[in-house]
Amino acid sequence: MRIRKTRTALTTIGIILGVAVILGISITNISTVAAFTDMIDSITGKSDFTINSVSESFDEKTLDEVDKISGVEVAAPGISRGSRLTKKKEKPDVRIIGIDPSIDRKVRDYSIANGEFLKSDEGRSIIIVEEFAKENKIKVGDKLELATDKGFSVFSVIGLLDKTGVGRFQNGSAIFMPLKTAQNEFNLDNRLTFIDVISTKDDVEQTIKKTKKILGGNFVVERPAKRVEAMEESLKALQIGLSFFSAVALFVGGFLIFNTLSMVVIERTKELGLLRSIGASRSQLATLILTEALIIGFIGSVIGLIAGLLLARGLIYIMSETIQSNISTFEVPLRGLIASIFVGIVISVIASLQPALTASRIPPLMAIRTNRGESSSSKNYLLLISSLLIIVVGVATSYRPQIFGYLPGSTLSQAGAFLLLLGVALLTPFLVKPFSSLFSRPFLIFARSEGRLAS
Amino acid sequence: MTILKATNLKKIYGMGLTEVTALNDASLEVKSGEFVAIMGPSGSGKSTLLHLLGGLDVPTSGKIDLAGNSITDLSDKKLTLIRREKIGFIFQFFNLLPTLSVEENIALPLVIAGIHQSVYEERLSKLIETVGLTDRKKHRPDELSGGEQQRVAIARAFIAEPKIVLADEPTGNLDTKTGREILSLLKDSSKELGHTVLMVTHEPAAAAYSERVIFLRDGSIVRSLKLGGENDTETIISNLKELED
Ligand SMILES: Nc1ncnc2c1ncn2[C@@H]1O[C@H](COP(=O)(O)OP(=O)(O)O)[C@@H](O)[C@H]1O
Ligand SMILES: [Mg+2]
Repeated sequence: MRIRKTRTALTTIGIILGVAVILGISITNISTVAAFTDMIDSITGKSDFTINSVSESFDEKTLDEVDKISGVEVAAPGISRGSRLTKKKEKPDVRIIGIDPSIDRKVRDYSIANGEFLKSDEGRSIIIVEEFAKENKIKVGDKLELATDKGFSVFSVIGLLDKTGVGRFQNGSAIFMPLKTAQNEFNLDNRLTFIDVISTKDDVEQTIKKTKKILGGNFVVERPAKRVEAMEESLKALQIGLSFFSAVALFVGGFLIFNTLSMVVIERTKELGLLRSIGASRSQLATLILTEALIIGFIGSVIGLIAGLLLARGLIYIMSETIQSNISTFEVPLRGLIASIFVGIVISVIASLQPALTASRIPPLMAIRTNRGESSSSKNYLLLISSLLIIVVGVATSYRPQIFGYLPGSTLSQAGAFLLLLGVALLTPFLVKPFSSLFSRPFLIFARSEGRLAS
Repeated sequence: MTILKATNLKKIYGMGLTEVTALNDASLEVKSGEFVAIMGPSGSGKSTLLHLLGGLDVPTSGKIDLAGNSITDLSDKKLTLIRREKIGFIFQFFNLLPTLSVEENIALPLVIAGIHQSVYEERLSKLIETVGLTDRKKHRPDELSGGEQQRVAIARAFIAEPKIVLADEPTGNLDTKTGREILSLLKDSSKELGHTVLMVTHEPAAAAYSERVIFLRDGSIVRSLKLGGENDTETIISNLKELED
């Protein structure tokens, strides 16, 4: 019984891994891109392009230059800095956005749920997101202490934002204050960190070109969509690495199933012959093996799905560090879900085709054969040694702290991982004694439902 | 009524230099309800004959008719159906599935045929009672004695009500006393239930349970002996001696 369980577990492990990784990647990619797009959208708002400097900040005179460019309709200046609420228990991280209240509403959607929008471009008023306020027990009129470059400064909350538009930025942890105030607090007098621009309609590309030319090489001028594309581009590297891993896992998974079922067929030749002698058809024997594979594939895929969800959590954690933003979306794509189960089961079935064919060709007279198996022990010895060697080489090449790291550039470690899995696969016949009761019971189940069809 | 008729059966194993003629021009007829024994020296082709008659193997030439249907020159599919519906087989080494219970082993031919449990439930428990395993029906084969295992095999051979049951040395692996019980069981099922049984044996005492003994030598049927007298075993022994000379 225990041996049987060990074998089933070993057999399903490749499928579990493969399915888990496929699903994990798919969830991670979709969630990361969604979160990233959302982040970009929420803060860039209606702007057609954004100007950043290659250094941390730039002179606010740039704004006048930009305003003069023909094709620029609105240019909204701003400052973005990290901070935290020092008086709250958790000291939550926030992002301070300094804006020009008289311009910014043309570029971004501010939907005030409570209180009012920033009035002057000075003063110690701030607006924050309602949900974030609730979480930290803040009301309109409250005073908040923030860590700035000046030390700890106190501001009063004059308005609360819906969690729409800019309210979605940084998962709602953004704090908006007048530009002048922000410049002062962060020692950035007369300086900006970004300008968001709305261009006259048809002419965006043209305006971007002009702006680049006028501002020169010290500035980055790009459409928000470009940043999402760049993000997707960098995700691809991760995706390729992980796809390779899942392909290897599935290949090895298929091999394990092939291996197990081939062994089952050899061990059970006599019994399969007996079934033939008392009236089982070839297709019933083949179905018996295929059913076994389906069960293995299904169990493996289901466990793989659960593992995939957990894997996605881990990957998303890594990704949110990478894009420096909280990924709150955890989208489980139906397509990825179906695809991973499908792949798991299909691979299992493909792997079982050859053993099923072998089973179906066992003649009834095998029921009375007396010699069991023709396994030469020296041959097994050779296989044992070579699989151990493969494992050693595999471990040696793949031993890098970052096998599962998130930018797997090294094909060497991938090859190592492959060898490792292959070695383990080849080793299974030795880990599992030729003894299996995995068998006849599924036959009964299958025969009860399939027998009529088969005859 | 003739239930089984084999004409000029020939079986050649291997090819060229390794060619072995296991059966040569063997012909025989078995009547419905008859209990026939097949005897002969080791290697005389007894098992081969039984396998051909049971559709487990195909003859090199010759014809076999079972219940009016030719079973030679059939496709594998049709031959499978013949085995499933018309033939029961009992092996020397019982050949039970170790993971199935007594009950499940016996019902296996019906399960393979896709027959629903509710249809055969009654017949199954009756048959289990006939072979005396009612209190063992949930046990696994490895929990049974050799004799009990062979009873399971007998019940399995009879469960689908085949036209003929073929047994290859069914007592060859049992002690004398248990062997006798098994033989009585076979005889009774032939006599009382009207089943046709064809049994290979090399023991005269076992053959004596049958109604007729067919003698094989070098792949040919050399004699057919009707029994029913007082000293059947002695008659069989003297016939064997004659043939060996
Ligand atoms: N599969 C086989 N391949 C080659 N020769 C065989 C095979 N089966 C049986 N024989 C040969 O055919 C002859 C008859 O065998 P068998 O029918 O088993 O005899 P019996 O059952 O009377 O002892 C023997 O010479 C045996 O060696
Ligand atoms: Mg024999």
